[in-house]
Amino acid sequence: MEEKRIRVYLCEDSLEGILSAVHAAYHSRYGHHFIRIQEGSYVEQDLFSDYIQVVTDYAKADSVARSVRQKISLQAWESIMKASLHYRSGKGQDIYRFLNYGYQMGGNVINFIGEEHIQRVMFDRKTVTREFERMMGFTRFAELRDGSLFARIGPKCNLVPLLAGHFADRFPEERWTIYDENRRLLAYHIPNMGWNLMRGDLSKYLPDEAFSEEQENMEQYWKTFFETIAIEARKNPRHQQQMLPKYYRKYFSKSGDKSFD
Amino acid sequence: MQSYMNKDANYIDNFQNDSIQNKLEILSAAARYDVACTSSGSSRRGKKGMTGNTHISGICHSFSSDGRCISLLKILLSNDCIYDCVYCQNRRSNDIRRASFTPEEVCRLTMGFYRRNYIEGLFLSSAVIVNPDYTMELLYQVVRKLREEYRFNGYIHVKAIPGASNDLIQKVGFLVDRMSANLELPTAEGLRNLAPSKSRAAILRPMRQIQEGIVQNKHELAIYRHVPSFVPAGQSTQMIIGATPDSDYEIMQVSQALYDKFALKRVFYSAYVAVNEDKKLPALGMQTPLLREHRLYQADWLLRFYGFRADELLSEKTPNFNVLFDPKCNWALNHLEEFPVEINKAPYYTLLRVPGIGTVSARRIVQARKFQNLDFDDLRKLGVVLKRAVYFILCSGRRMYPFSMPLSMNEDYICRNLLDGGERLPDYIREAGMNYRQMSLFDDVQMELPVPEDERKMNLLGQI
Repeated sequence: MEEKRIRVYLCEDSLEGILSAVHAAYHSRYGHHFIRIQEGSYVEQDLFSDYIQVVTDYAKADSVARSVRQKISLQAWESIMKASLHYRSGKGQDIYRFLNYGYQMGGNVINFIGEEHIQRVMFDRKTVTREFERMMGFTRFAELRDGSLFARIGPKCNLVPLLAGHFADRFPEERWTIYDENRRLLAYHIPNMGWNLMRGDLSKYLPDEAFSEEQENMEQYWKTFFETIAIEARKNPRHQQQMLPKYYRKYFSKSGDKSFD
Repeated sequence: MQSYMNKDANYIDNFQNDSIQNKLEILSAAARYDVACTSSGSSRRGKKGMTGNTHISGICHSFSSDGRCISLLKILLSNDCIYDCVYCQNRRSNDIRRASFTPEEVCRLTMGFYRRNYIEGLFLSSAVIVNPDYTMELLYQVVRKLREEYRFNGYIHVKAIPGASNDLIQKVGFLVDRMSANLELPTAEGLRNLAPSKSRAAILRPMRQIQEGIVQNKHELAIYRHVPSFVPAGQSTQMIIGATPDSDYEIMQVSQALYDKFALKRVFYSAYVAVNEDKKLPALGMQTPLLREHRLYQADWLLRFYGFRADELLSEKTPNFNVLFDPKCNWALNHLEEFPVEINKAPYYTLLRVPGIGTVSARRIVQARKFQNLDFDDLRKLGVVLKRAVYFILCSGRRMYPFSMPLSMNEDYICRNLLDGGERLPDYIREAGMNYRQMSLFDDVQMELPVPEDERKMNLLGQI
């Protein structure tokens, strides 16, 4: 067999982007072994591969998603969905290989962690799930003048879509925004209209005057509660830091939780 | 006592003038010794027109400087108690600031905190004001207001006040996720001594009632889909450890009985923090028995998830847990005749009894060995803690280090190696200033001795 040149599909760093690339890769019928998928905006190119830019296409991504759910399993779908939110570069290729195996062996693919790509997808899924569970607790909202809620976060993984789903269920009657500072990604929710994702830079937004009057009271009450609830005889800052790393604390004060100031 | 009985019905209004800030300070400080701050066990989707949902595993929202999770707004409705329990900070004869929230204030705080995602819900308890029924009625008012007027759909945990009437407890049970009646002290005798106004019978009665309510509700739910659920997250209780001279054996017996007979979700253990001076109590400067509390929790997990019974772990002869080893390791060391366990054959509950194998890794082993014979490398990947498990297991009939390990293990050998291998105490106990050297003063001196040279050689050569 003639040795073919490696073909690299470049795509956007998002679930839709990666799935669009998967769609393009399958439809090219070029052969899985000669295809790589590389997500993200920066790629170091070499002379021995062809590079093809894939434009994110929601309809194509959706058709891949549907086929994963139907032909592989819901578990497999959840795995690639969560793994795609990880910050690690190179996850696109892992997800692609994961799907190659998945279409061959079906739902059992998630147990086949001897294979390195599958293992990495499953580990990424675990990492994302753990940070998501943390951030469900560590996200802080501050009330603005107009009565809506605003949260500023900076998790390591891209948790905005997962958190938006969680808070849409929790606060169906509130208008709220969750803003990821590092990714400049935000989700906003309007009652009866669901939530939406948006890119945008809000780092200069929100001077202090934007907060409601009640906000300051609640911050004060919370600080009081936080300090009095601790038992002096059991003081243990190290354990505290283990459970609540300083990395997450800095976003507390940015969203109106002054307990660590 | 007399003066409290005469108080008018609008007793709470006497506290109108205090600011919320002050009340919060007093009443959260008064509630901090309650340990059960979990928001787990209930799974409820959000509802249109309401605020909140609940997550099955609970969510921690912050961690206070003692390292404990903050999940619920844990406050007392009032700390103005008619009882005089010796160990309690809020006892009648203590000269402390008294305060009471109005239902309105509790609701406002809960909603304010919940919307900002500071908390997962409310944990409401109260000192007994006027009488148990009166207190329970007030708790009911708060919870009803929160659910019906403020449309709160999040987690609520309320204390059942011993001595309150059945229908009040029933009414509250349909509004909350979890209820708990505090056992306070492990034995009835301790209770008689330290909390003379409470009786064991009065505490167990609401516990039994809640249990029966839950069972009945389950039957109703099986028939009709839309029956309101009664205490869906189950009930829990807590007891204070170290205020009375009860042994660990007695405590575990009580826990076992509570799990068996009252179907509790959790029993919480609260290391006694000395706040009062009294001749019936340990002295004020005493150290909080954190290690003991930790060992009890470990044993508690063994009861609930590992299929152990209390009398397997301890006995009349050895009534207290080993300070050096966790209860499971200690059990294994005393039952070497049950080991070694063959990983590729042993049933699930036998695997669970091996130190270093937990529920997750045991499940993974059972799954994985269907497809292939497992070796020690595989075990490590599956999450087994080999440095502990290695003395108790065989893979396909082999030891991990067949040449350096004796064929039949003895207790001394394993103890010594476990300790050499850096068996360590949890961080928060070491932080409290304890370490092995200090503790081993009270323990078997033998463990501290260096290994004799010829024995070491024999071990290396695999001789017995």
